[in-house]
Amino acid sequence: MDSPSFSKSNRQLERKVGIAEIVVVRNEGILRTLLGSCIGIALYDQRTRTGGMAHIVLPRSNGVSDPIGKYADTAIPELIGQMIQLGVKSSYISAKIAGGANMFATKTQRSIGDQNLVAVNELLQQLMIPISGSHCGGTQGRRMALNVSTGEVIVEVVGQSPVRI
Amino acid sequence: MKIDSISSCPIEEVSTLIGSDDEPACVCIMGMEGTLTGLMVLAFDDTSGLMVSDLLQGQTSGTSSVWGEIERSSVLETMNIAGSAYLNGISNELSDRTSSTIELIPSPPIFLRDYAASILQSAFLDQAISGTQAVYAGVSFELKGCPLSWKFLLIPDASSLTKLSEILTNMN
Repeated sequence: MDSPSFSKSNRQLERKVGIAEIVVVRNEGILRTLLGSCIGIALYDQRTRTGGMAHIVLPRSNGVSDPIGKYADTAIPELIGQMIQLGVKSSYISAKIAGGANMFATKTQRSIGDQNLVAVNELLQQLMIPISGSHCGGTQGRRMALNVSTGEVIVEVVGQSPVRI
Repeated sequence: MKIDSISSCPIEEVSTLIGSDDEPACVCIMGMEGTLTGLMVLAFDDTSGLMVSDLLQGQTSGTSSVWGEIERSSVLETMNIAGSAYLNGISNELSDRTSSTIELIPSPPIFLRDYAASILQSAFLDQAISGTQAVYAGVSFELKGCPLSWKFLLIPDASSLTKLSEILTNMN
């Protein structure tokens, strides 16, 4: 079986989502981010073909929200808000998440990767957004890509075949 | 081996410091402990790293083509020597110029081959927890006068940035 990948025509519409960045697009395009201990969250509404991605660095803002996309507790509400502004109903949104690796096997890194994951899971549960795919933990970085035309999310790890989540 | 610069940039921009962010990079990472804490990152592409391995094994350049145990061990040993020498140099210089004991202890290095962005996000994580700016020292290498395509970064922990600032203020 072939490894999952997006077509070349879709690649022309790629948009990189950087550290602490939030991007929402409609109808078509690929949103792509690179993750270590950070969490990538892809939200999608199949009905309006609207997709958004946030690259979360830390679990809690503790009152500091600049940049807003850096923290799980500020990034996720902002991401949902931007999708709602494009006409999405929050009840139609589903989530896929990736990242939270422990790259250097230190206590701090493990703690942050795990805390990020816990924070994202808790927030999505509170907001009643189902998680339909997840590729988290481990010791390797990830490249995560969301195809906004289809809602498909592909995760790549160096030295391994890409996987669809 | 010499310090080129001490630089800072927004945390959001660290992903490209050792090259293209979404290409796999090879890195050796070594911890710094003692008076100051943080990480040292030695980054190189496959070709450069495998050439060093061939050199250390006394083989013709281009003999090694994959990262096996011996190849990894060779670059880790290179990092061990370079990182330890670098820390000794900084430690001696700072101790002399502040008339105090600045002890910097290297930890055993690890080898990673992964996306450059993933590595750097994790390397700057401690600084990201405390602020919005990334601070690092860049080092260049030369071999018999020729520059090597290696990148070496010293990344102090957030707590060490304050301590380092105090040390530099007290320097003669």
